[in-house]
Amino acid sequence: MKPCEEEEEQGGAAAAGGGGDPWKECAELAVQLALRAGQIIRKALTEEKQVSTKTSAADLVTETDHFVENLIISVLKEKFPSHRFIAEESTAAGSKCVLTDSPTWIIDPVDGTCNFVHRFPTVAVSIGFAVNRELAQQKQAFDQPPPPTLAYACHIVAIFRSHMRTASTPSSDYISKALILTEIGPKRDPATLKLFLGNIERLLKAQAHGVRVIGSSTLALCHLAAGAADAYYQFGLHCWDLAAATVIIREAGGTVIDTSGGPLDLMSCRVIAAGTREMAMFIAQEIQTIHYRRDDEN
Amino acid sequence: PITTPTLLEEAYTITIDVYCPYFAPFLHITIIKKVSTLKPNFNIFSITLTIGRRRRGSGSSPGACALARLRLGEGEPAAGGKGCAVVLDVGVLEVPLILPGFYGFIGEESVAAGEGSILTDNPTWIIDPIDGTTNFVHRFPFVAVSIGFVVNKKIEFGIVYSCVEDKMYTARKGKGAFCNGQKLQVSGQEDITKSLLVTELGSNRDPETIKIILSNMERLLSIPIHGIRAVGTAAVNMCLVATGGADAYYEMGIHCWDMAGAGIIITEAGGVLLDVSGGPFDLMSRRIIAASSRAIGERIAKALQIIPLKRDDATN
Repeated sequence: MKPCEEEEEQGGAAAAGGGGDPWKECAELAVQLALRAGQIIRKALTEEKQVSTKTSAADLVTETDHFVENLIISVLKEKFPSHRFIAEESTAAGSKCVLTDSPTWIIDPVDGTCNFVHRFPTVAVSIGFAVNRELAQQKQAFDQPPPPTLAYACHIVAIFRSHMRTASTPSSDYISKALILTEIGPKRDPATLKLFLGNIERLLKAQAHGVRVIGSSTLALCHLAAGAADAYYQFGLHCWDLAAATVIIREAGGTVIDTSGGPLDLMSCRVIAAGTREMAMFIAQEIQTIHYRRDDEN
Repeated sequence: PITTPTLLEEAYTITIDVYCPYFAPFLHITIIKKVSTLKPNFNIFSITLTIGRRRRGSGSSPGACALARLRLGEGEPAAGGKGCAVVLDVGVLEVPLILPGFYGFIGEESVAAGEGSILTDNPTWIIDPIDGTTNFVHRFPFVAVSIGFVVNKKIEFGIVYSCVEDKMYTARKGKGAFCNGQKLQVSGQEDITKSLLVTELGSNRDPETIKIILSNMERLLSIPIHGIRAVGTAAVNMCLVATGGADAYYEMGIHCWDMAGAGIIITEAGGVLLDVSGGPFDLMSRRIIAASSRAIGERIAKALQIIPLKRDDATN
């Protein structure tokens, strides 16, 4: 796989385990795009929106989602023509969601679309990058929601590598005294709701300090990385919600695994993330599975 | 009892110059070293709140508390908004602040100590110095100061300062609701199937209570609705409804100091306050629906099973 062209002569140094970051140019462009997308979203937040539904009455999409996604992909495609893309709205339009060894951008243009439609101030842009099917070890990926300049604008969770707090100072390894974040997910049929609420009941019975739902999985995962919560779990999110935040959490010293307790499966539509491995495993033991189709299924 | 600010750590200070109906209208707020002058016009007088945690070993029990310096004055503020001329400086007192004669305070820490809170017709401050204490402990960034001022059992003005976000929400009866100077308007949503609701799981871990809370959520999600959010503080949840970012908030188990500040912010933004039964709102009832429209509020009331709770004004 070719690193970005500019870094080609550094490729050797990186391979030798030197200091060079072969994907640095990609990361810097990703930040620029995230900021630009954030500006577009911030502006669109105040305007009238045309809203459609996707898989359920709670699964919303707007023209801003499409616009931002097209913008990000077209800029990246022009700069890196050999790179691949997995992005939310393209997938909804029928593109396959297959992760190969090629450098692949994994994009959620507007995470928290339901919030966006309502002007609830928790909305993010998520840009992740994977090579050889692994989320790049250096921090590649940035969530950049719009900064709080408007009365009803969004929450800043801007995580940059140099400012990241390690997640290794959690308040607890155990569920009791833990602050846990989650999301409801798009399915709202009775069986799913029973399982979803049953999981919360179990965690409360284990004396968790609380459960919070903010409406954006990527931002919730970033709060975890910043040490503001102890664990996150969800069924029904997608690879484009996970790709960026997983790297951020791991670089901050946290753990990201599958809900079964095994290693993270990016396409499985489920995740547990926590400040420590112990906490992640406790959550895995407590929660019951809610089944969702994989991102790479037909 | 007089205490000093050195007893507090992690403290931040809010000075609010507030004017009574008898004084010239003006609202001036100083937050730590930052000065912002907010419109619109208020009639109130000056209170400085220093809020933080008691230091360990200070002789008092640890926890959040507020120190209040109250200045009562009259006339216009000096040019540059330095506050009104001081007529009476009652010094620094720990919440609750009971003034001899006519002003009462109801604050969270006094109720925790076991006293009941009887709301009389007297002008009364209802304060939660830190709403979202669990968030505060975990550094989850939704923590607010909530101040309500009630006369004849009606809320006259309310202030909610979401301090991590640096959003100052204010409302004065008849004068509208504002966030950092921007006028607020609820969403006006009347269709429950397009609504985003805010609520909390609460601090009660009794299994029966948890069952009722979760079954209420199940009933609402099944209508269906767009979603439910929970950020961890009643005051901020209610302010989110006032901004139009959510369509209604409901909860059972909170206290009057969680609702007094934000309640008037919602009504001045065009929203309604109801009891969870659908009847009129009762500040001491421990329960509330705060909605962007009566239609949404009443539809929520229909879905709710009520949790039996001891009122804030119940005597033991």
